[in-house]
Amino acid sequence: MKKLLITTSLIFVALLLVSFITQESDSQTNRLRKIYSQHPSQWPAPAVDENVKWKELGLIPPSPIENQKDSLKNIIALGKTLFFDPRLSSSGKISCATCHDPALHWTDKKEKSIGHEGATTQRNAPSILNSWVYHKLFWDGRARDLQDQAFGPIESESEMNSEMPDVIRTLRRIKGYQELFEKAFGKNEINPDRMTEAIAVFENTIVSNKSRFDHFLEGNKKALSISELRGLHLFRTKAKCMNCHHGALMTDNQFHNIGTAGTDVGLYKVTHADADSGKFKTPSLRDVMYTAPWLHDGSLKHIEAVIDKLNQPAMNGQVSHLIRPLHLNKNEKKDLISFLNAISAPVPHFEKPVLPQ
Amino acid sequence: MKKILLTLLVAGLGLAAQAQPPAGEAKVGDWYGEKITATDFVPLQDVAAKLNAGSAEKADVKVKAKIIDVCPKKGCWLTLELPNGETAMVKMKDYGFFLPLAAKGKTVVIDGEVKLKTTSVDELKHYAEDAKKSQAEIDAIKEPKKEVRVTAKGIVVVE
Repeated sequence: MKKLLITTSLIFVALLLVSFITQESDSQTNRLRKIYSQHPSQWPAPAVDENVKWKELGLIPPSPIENQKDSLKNIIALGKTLFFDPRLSSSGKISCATCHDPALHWTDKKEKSIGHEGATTQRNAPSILNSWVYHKLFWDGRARDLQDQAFGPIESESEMNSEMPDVIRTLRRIKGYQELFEKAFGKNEINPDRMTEAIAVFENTIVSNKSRFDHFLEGNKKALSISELRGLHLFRTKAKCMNCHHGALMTDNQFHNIGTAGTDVGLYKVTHADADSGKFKTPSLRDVMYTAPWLHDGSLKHIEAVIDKLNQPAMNGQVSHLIRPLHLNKNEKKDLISFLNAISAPVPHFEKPVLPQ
Repeated sequence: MKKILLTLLVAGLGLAAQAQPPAGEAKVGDWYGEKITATDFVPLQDVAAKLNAGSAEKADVKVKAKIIDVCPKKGCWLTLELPNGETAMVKMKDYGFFLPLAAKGKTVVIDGEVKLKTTSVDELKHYAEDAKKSQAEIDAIKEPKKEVRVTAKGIVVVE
């Protein structure tokens, strides 16, 4: 009898404890939901390091040329056609879209890309979604804008392996392109600058769909789960993500060494400054869960591995002062990944162009 | 009007920013791409002669040559001096780096791959047609054209 009583009391105490803990986490969740249900301008400041010029997270912005799409439609159409045309490559088999496939969130899902005659590129092909936001292009920032960047893959011997004069000769022989260039630019003068400008203008139109996080920001307070909310909070606080991934598109447009450079010197090759060794551009985290494998070399296939690299970074002398051990526990890492899912949206439907003959 | 709109747009996007090669004086010791040492090199013309003689298809070597010209827009290609007024075209590996205009006239050591690029008679005739050459000129094309091409991994200025 006595034994039964003790057991019952023990069970009762245990139940009390459990309910207390649940209530505690419930109230924590309610608190987070309350805080983050406010407009982002009312959110508490994120935990970022001193001197980081952070911007608050926010709604996915429209294309910067959203309001000019109509007046620019012929340039956009030309750029879109060029982007999908393998005749820009010397083999006639590789187009921009080979590595930036609209069905794969405008990437190729490969560690490194396969270029001319099976050549492997040096780095991972990034998505062109929201690429208008970047001040410099390529992982090492060697191109000053999207137009400048467009020359690279066309000319690179490991990608499309073309010579610009050959490309222009090829385009001039295609009647459909004479018409497309004339419509876009008034005269049908086909030249490298117009070709790359059209590609860049087209790329400016490629932006992400709204994610659950955007729906949450727009007022649908149920759009984020409890775990995703905790992840958002961690993203802004303990996980220190906003040291680099801030603003609506979650990139500071800077270059950092995060301890994963390997033998690639990154920005150093461009600037020749020792301090820039192993630095790469901060990628936007929009749609991040759809753009595996990750890092400049595509070496990490699992998001858990990416989080682990940042949670316990390799602390050699070259690593950025913004990077340090985070001490995230298992549940916190899970919540953070939940949030990364919440900022990842299915890719917008895209109609491929018909190539001119 | 349309042109003005376009110009405005282009300026807004930053596309109008005039593309230009990187700044720099290309002084002796200045390097580009991979950092290489100016040792164990051979004159480019020796490698070119070997390739022309057909003893090899390509060569991974360090060559020394004088720069005749630099891509005025981006610094993304060079031409090098060869005997008999010929030139060799250089492109940078993976379109990975660029040279300043000041490199024109400098002598450099280049680590990379040297090979011959052959343009077939058909292609040459096609180009001549595109360039609106006379039929007589087009008919005169009977030999494929061979050019020395270099893909540079690293370049260092030596003179």
